[in-house]
Amino acid sequence: MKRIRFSILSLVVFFALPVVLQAQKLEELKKRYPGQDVVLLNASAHYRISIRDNEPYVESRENEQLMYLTTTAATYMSRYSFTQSSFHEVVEYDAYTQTPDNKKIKVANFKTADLRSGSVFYDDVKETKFDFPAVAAGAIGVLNQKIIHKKGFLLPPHYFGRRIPVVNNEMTISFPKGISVKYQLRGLETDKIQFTETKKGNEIVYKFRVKDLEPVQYYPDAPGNSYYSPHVLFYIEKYTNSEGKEITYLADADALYQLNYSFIKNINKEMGPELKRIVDSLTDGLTAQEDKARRIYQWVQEKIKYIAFEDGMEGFIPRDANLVCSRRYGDCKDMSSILTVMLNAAGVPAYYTWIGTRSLPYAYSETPLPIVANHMICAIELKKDEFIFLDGTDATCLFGLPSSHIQGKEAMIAMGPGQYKIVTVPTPPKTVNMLVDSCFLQFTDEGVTGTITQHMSGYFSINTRDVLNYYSEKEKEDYLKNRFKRGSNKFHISQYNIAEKQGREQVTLSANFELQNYARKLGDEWYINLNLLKFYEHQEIDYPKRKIPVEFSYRFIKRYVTVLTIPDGYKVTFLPKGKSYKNNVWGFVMEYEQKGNQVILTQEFHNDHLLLNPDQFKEWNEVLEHLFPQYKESISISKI
Amino acid sequence: MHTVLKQLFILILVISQGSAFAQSLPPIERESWFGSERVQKPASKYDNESAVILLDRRRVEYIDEGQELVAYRSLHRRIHIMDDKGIEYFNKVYLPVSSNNEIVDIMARTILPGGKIITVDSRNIRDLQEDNQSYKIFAMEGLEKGCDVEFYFTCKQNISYFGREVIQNSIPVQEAEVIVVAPERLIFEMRGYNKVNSATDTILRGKRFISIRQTDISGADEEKYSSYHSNLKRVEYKLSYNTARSRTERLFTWNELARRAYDIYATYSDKETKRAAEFVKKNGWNKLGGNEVAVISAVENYLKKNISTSEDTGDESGNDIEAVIKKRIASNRGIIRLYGAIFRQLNIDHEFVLCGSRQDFEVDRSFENWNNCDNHLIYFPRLRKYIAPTLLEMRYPFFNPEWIGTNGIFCKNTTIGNFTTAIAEIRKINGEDCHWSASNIDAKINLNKTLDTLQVAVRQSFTGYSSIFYRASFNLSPEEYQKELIKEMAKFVTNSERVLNTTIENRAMEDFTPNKPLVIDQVVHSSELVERAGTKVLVKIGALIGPQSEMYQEKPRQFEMDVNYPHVLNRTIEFRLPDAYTVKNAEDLKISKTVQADGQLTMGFESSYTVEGNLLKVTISEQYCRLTYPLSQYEDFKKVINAAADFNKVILVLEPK
Repeated sequence: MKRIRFSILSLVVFFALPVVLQAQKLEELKKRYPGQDVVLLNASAHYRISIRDNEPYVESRENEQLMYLTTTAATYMSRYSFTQSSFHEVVEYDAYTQTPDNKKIKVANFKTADLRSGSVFYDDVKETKFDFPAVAAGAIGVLNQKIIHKKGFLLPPHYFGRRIPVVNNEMTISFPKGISVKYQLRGLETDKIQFTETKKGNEIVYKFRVKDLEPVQYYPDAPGNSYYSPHVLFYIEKYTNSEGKEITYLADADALYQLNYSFIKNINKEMGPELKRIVDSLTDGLTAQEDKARRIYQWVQEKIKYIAFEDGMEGFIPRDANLVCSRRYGDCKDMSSILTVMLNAAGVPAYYTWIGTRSLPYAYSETPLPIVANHMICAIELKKDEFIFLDGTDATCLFGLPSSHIQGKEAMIAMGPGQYKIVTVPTPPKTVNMLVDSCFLQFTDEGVTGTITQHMSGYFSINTRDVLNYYSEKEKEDYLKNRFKRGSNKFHISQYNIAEKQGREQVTLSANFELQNYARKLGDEWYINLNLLKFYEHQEIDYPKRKIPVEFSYRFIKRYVTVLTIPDGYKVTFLPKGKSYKNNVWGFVMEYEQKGNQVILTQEFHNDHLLLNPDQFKEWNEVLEHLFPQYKESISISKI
Repeated sequence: MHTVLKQLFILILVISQGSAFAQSLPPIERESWFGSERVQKPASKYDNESAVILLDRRRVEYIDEGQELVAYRSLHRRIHIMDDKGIEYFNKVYLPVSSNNEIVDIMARTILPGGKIITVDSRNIRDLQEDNQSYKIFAMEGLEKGCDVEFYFTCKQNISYFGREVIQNSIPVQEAEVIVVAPERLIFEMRGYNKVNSATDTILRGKRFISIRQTDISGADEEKYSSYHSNLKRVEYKLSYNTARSRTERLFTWNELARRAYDIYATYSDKETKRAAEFVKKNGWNKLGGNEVAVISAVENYLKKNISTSEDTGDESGNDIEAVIKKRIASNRGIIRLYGAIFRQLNIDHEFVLCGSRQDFEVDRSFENWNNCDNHLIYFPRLRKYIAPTLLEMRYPFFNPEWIGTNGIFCKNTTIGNFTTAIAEIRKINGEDCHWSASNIDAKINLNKTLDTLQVAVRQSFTGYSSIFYRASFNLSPEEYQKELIKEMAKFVTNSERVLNTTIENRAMEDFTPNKPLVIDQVVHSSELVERAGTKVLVKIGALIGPQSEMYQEKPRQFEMDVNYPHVLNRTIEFRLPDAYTVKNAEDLKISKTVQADGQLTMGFESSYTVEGNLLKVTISEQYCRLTYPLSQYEDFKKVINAAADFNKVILVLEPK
């Protein structure tokens, strides 16, 4: 993914509880969590918010206690770590093991290194790793940290769940009366979070506590964990400064915009000659704004490569457009910067725009925090109040379609000082994203041969062009072979072709193929299963066990048409009936027909969801129950 | 890395220098921009590539700095970029540097087709620290198709008298050069591997140069059944003589390595010996009697289940036997020492063995590169077997099969007077024969009454190296994963997840040693393996051996074939046919592709069947008796592999009688 990262760490937090009756606890936990090697016995994070030098000052003390339940854990699970960045600096830490016979063995060796994330080339996130010594059943690993959170507007959310069982996890926030702190409970099962508020003198304490959480389930097709894992978002709404004046900090979208605007107000003061020359040559002879916008967007997509440097405030402030142009690389903010400058220079109204990608569930309207956004794009307004969203980090996105990871999300568009709009990015309907695959085949002595042609539009075409960018000419054949593969692993291709149509909006892939041992000829009869592709086989959702939604990249229609030519002198002796089925969630069409000397099977699937929730899983599976028996039908053809 | 093994007494190497060393830049060979200031278009044969490396030069120079010998390493590359993939591949640069960060030169530039040159500003070069390695990282600027990028850097590196430079990768290289420069008194030797030119040497300006130059190196692709890294062209070098000391005494011999290994792994302080003795007593290993295998297994099982072992714990305590016993955290070095101390207490004959791997680099008996033996074994001469002390998922006599067939440095004890040390004996590390490692399937199948589901009772059993993955998974992985694996194993042979029953036998880690088969019995109902065509029933019987790897559409083969370890796969299928049906095409079940050498089977796939009443019995035997097969046998090898893949596609057609 390509986006700015606000370096919000999934910090694991707390403070120390006395280690009581370790042996008894061990037996109890073993019973409660069979098959688990380790549990999070206690986690606590205590945030203290105050005002220093007229600014909010935030620090936290965190404590974690891991209890090991088995001996096997010793050899594999002693390694532990914590992370930090320039915004969340760990200023004190220590760790030790409390052995079952109550000895304390300190961790002597901590190793800190840069933590690299897949998409970011360079940032300031660091990870400190260490091993808990003397790990054995009943041993408790304890980690304590003191963290200074240097930016009051970037307080980390507190997550309660882990990939291991959580026995007790709590978070407190203490602050004086002059500060107003707001919080939101997000994710699923937030009713498990117990909240209490206490006032002691001048101090207010919020306490959030969760007991007995099962390990967080992991599924590769799940949305980001903030959709389902229970967590607390908290923020400083306002505070009273030393002069007794009330300062609005992150009260609402206006305040958030003011903060965001401070990152862009000093950039791009002047356009350099090189950038000017490029804009002029790109728009030379064009009069319509849309044509100019298309040309400029395509240039940025092709020429500016995604490389992200996000050290400290580099993660927030877009770089100068002239610099981005000469370097020919940048991160999302830099792409937003150069697009906005170039488009405005060409007379197209263009604006810096913040947005949260679909990996985050938050919206500006309910959550006025920097955490809502992790990405920057450029919005243009060709007609009054009709925005088109241009994502420079998506090198193959089509003009007019939003990049797929911002569909349906709120965009904060910077219209000027104090002026902004929040607009919801459209979600293209399924008819925009079509994949039509036509496979023509005939029998040979060894099996079948034929041709395959795949037409793609919308996100199908975007993704295909994106993938092809990463293959050299000589690798493209392998790519196409894997993409077209059907029937069995004896599938070969030859003479492939890749074509783009209507500008770049549609992509067509085609190839000749051969598939030996697929159809069987016995005596005067041929048997062949025209379901060369069996979509969704074994893709039932694990219902009712799974509690986490399923995410889809986009809405779509996929149609696969398989056409078999009947050899001269033969006739069809058995043709399956086919079936169509659909319910409220989705459906399929499976249709056989005979036309002259051809038998045609049409398989069609459609999806109208970006997110499938657990209450829809049953119906999803129901469609599959109707689908799978269809895959078992072969046709037979015999001599007249 | 046995860094400890390789640390050298610097004093031997340095001859005393009169003057103090006071310059800011060392008097070493320096890099400068290569070739023209215009884009250099490579030959047209490279037109379909993403990029071509025009120059790849590595140089290591040893010089005297005061009383110290130090080394500087240079890397210099110039690359012509052809397409977007080439841009993405080369627009980010990571240069590994030593932690002390003494950079002499670091330069990077882009040459655009129009002639413009963009140089990377040194302020945009950042530092990155990963676990044990520091990097300088930067992004190349202004890249477009058809441009050249060029960068070079020289930095001081941790002193080492051995080196290896791999000069081949997936991108073709027009010219590669590896150069070692040293003071005249130090004689380095250099050797190329995988059809690389031989070295040339010369003396210039009081410096000794040795180098290998190679042109037109094609890009290498990964292949099935081969180890990629070991087959790449590479150059190795080592220091062999210091003429200031002696013209004939060879340095860094295998014997010297064995002696040092003995010092490190077999020499213990009195305190350590005492702790080891107590430890042996506490665990009762001294009371296990005369069965050596039982004692070794007891020690190994205990240590592997209770002590967390990693390459390097970062502090000395990981090497110290006393601390290891107390903290249960060991470095590789610490755990090997602990094994040694325990075995000595128990009077178990053992030798420390150092070896490489077929995956990357092996010991070459005639070229003593100490970097090529980073793996550890302990050999028991009486039993002629090994243990792998640092591999927690292995048990006696198992070790990493990638080490089989490579040369081992066996450190054999030798006593001179009252002084004990070790000498090196170099010989092949032998594995077990192909029948020792088996993955077998025995399936009994029948159709249900409505003829739409296959009822399968299947036993999958694994011995030898074929059992490692499963046994390790059923012991060491989380329960969720084990459940998933059981489901996947059923799916592997039936394409169905409807598992009615599963039992697992011999899953304990202790069952490795007697090579008890790990047995998984499952009852599965599979509608996936049955299809219909009108009145006929199609049974996908071939699917019961599981999906097979195939080599149907292959590019010209580059490397010899390596099957990881010799092994067999034996399968039987008993199919009780429904009464009213006959099989139309049972002959499809017969496949035979075998290869012999000197009258012995070296590899093969054979399947046959018998029919007794309504019972169809299929027997399938697949064998790979050698570890590797030469390139000349590629066509044969492919046929055997594909025979199995063909069997997997056999569908029986059942017709009403």
